[in-house]
This record gives sequence, C-alpha cells and structure tokens, in this order.
Amino acid sequence: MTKANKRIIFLIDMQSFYASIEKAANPALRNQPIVVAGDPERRSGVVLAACPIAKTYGVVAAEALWQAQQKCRRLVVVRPRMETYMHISVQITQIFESFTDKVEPFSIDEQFLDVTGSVHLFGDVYQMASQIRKRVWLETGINCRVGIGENKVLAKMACDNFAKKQEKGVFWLKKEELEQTLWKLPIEKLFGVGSRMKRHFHRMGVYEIGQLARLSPAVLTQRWGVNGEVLWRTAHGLDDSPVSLRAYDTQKGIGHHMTLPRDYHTAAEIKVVLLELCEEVARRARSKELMGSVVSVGCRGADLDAANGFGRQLKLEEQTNDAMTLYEAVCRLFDRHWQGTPVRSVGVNLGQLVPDNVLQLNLFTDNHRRRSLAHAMDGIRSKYGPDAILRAASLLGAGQAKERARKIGGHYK
Amino acid sequence: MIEPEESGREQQEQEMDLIRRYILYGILFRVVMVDMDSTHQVVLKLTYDSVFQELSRWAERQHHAIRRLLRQRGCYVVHSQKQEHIYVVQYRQRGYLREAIYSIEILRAECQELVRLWVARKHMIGT
Repeated sequence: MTKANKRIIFLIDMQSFYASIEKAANPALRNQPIVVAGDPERRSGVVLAACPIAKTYGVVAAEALWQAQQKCRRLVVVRPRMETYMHISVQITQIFESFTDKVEPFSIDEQFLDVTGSVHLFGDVYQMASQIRKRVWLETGINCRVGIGENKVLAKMACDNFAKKQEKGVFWLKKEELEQTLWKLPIEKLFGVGSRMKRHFHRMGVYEIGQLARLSPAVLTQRWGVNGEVLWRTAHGLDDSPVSLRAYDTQKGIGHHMTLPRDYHTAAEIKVVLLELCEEVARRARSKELMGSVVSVGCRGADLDAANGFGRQLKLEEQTNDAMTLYEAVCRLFDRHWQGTPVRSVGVNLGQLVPDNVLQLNLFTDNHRRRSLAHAMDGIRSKYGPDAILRAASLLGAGQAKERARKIGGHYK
Repeated sequence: MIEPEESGREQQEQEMDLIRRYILYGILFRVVMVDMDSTHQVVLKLTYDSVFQELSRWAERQHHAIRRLLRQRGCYVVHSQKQEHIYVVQYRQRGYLREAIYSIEILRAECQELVRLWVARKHMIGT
C-alpha cells in the first residue's frame, strides 16, 4: 500500500525507437545490425537510431554514417520515416491511456505516466509495469523500459541510469535509497547535467552526484541562479511538477532551425534561408493565432564547438506574425552581427507572444491586406502542401524550402 | 510453487498473446483469398489457386483453434476495427472488457512471417 501523499510516476522509454519500428515492420532485418540514418548523399548522413545489434559494434546515435559503416561492415542503413514514427508514438500513447488518464509525452519515444490512482487495478507497481511492457511489445513490436519514482525526475533517472541497464527493464528509484543508488553515480548521470556542466563541476571538484547533493544549495544558486537550485533539488529527488498534457500549453516562443547541407559563404545565400525560416515561423504563429514582439537569430559555423557564430535578439516596434516584417528585422540583426564567417546552421525565433486578435493600425503599411494575403497563402499550403507556393528566392541554389517540404523536423517523412 | 497472483498475471499475458495470434491468423486467411482473387486479374501460364487455398485453410484452422482455446479461458473478441494506421480490437476477458491497439504495418509484417513459417513447415513435411 502506498502512502497517500506519495505519487507513483512511470517514465517509459522505447528502446532504439526508430530502429525497432523498422525491424518490426521488416522481419528480414530482425537479425541484422541496422541504423536509421538520413540520406548519405546529402548532409543528413547522421545516425538517428542504432539497433542493439549495431550498438554491440560500437555504433552510437548521432555519429556520422560513414563512421558507423567503418565500425560495422554489414550495417544496414534504413531511411527515416518520421510520419510513421509519429503515428506509432501516438499509438503507444493510446495504449498507455488504457492504464491511466494522466499521460504526458516527454519526447517521441518517452512518456510520463502518473499511475497513483490506477495501480491497484493492475496488481502492484511491478505487475503494472510488466503488463505495459508486454502490451507495447505485442502491439507495436517495441521493447520498452520503465523507470519508476515518486516524481518525474526520479522516474527519468530511474529509467536512464538503471532500467535501461537491466534485463527486466524495470527499476524503482526510491527517494529513501538515493544515497545507495543515485548518489554513487558520476555527476554527468544527473538529469540536467550535460558535457559543459560536467566540466564546470569537475573544476569545482564535484565528481559524483552525492558530492553535489551534500553541497549547500546557496553555493549552487550563487553560481547558476535558479538552475543551480534545480540541480540540487534533482540530486535530492525533489520535483513537484505534475504529469499533465497541459504542461506545454503555454507557448513562450515559436522558432525554426535548419542545419544546411554545406557551408554558406555569402550574405545573399544565407538570407535566402533566413527568409524561408521567417516564412515558416510566421506561418506557425498564424496557425496558432499568435503574434510576437521579440525576434532572435542564431547562426553557427560547421565546427559547433568553436564559438564562431552569434545569437542575437531584437525588440520589434509592434507585435507581428507577418513574414516580411520578421525578415526585415532578421536581416537588420544579421547584417549587424555576422562576421563574414561560413555558416552551417541558422535559426529564427519569435518570442513574447500575444494573441493575434488585435491588429495595430498603421498609417504607412496596409496591415489588413498583408494579413489576408498571408492567410490565403496558408490556406493553399495546408490544402496542397508546404511547397505549393514558394518564393522565387527559394528556387535559387541556396533555397531549402522544396527539400524541407519533404521532411519533418529535418528528417524524411 | 507458483503463487496464485503470479499465475493469474502470466495467464493474462498468455491470453494477450493468444488474442494477437487469433487476430493475425484471422487477417491472414482473408488476405490470402483476396490476393488469390487479385491473381485472377492477370493472365498467368498456370493457376496457383491450390497454394493460396491451402495456405488460407491452414490459417483459418489455426484461427478457429485459437478461438476455441480463448473460449475455454473465458475470452472472446467483441469488436475489431481498422482506424487509419491502427487496428483496434476489443475483447472480453473473464468479464473485463479490454482493448488491444495494433499497428497495421506490424500486423502485415507478422502475417508475412506466418507465410514464411507455413512454407518452412511444408518444406519440413516434404523432406
């Protein structure tokens, strides 16, 4: 029997999600090492997912396809099918919803479940986890792992650090036992600590999660502000956030980012892509009936470690979701801050969002006309596809809009 | 000795497996007949109807055998329906109404595996 004030949260993670789907859909691949990777002819030759057999050869996600092929000669490369992966993710959510009504997708292959109110219907916690794993396996052909905790961070760390490494695929990380379990792990295993943060901690002489947990929260707050306190709370397994679909209801910004197929060297080429990104951002803002008043631009070179890019933002005179108004502001930022270095990745973001049901009248521009033109274009695109209407600039060699229309999130549909 | 709760859970998981196989054989025997009709649309040198019919009959026999087994355990399928990318099956398991949501792509792949199994079985009997 669980204490009334304790929640039971599951974080369920799909093992090699994209690769597992491909193996389930094609029995001929089941005993072969496979990776799901972009088109090697274009830039997207990066491993998105590797199956467990491929991983035994040392193949890891996010490495270049050619490197993976060098590690494993008989590696089978499968092109991604993002639409299918999204459908399966929704299907898995539906399966989870038959166990509890509190399901929160965390990413395409990870979901939080609050089973506090329904666990007694399925036996105990471990029996419920086992039933969920069995159903997901039978109905989708995917092996999943279950991390259990009394809140979301504990469930997440239970899954990442323990359940994934165990044969049975289920682990309950209890707050009372953190000293014997989580605190013994290296600092980078703490949720929220990446490679940079790890370096900072090492410089402070903090190598294990336990060392961080024993620090005073004031020390961390002084150094990293609220993020420092969050890390301290995470190390102590403290998190009050609810499992809720509404977690992402309040949108703070709308942005699009693109990694280019090659280095772009001239402002004219880069501005073609910036215009395309502004179009996408403005279109998404209109579809959500929002306008923004802060625009930010980010540009980076091919060497992501070298600090040879910039990220700047600008406050607009009035809120907008018009692509050309955005583009003008983006160009102003770009012209001011670009150092002439080659660019490999660009992004545009629109922030400080407000509802777009109020239109600021302007003596010099016909906003009504611009808005109705934009809505007409949106209508055509939603009916006939995102590349049904393109700007002439997109037909230039630098343009990416046509290629991007065939993709979701930068990967093939 | 197996604890009663443990055996109950195992029994439930076995039944989930049986339901899946019941659905797969049910789809297979129908699909094979549809494919046989499709071969009639083209001019062929020979007829392969006997192969299709034998495969379909085998799948249908398996389907009915599993149905009998499920009935003995107090399980029966109430409703099944294709919805866009999924195939939703509702079944009653000793009074409880349960649901299984299969991916159509996976069902197709598994049916293909059953065909391979049937061919391998025929081959073994032949040798």
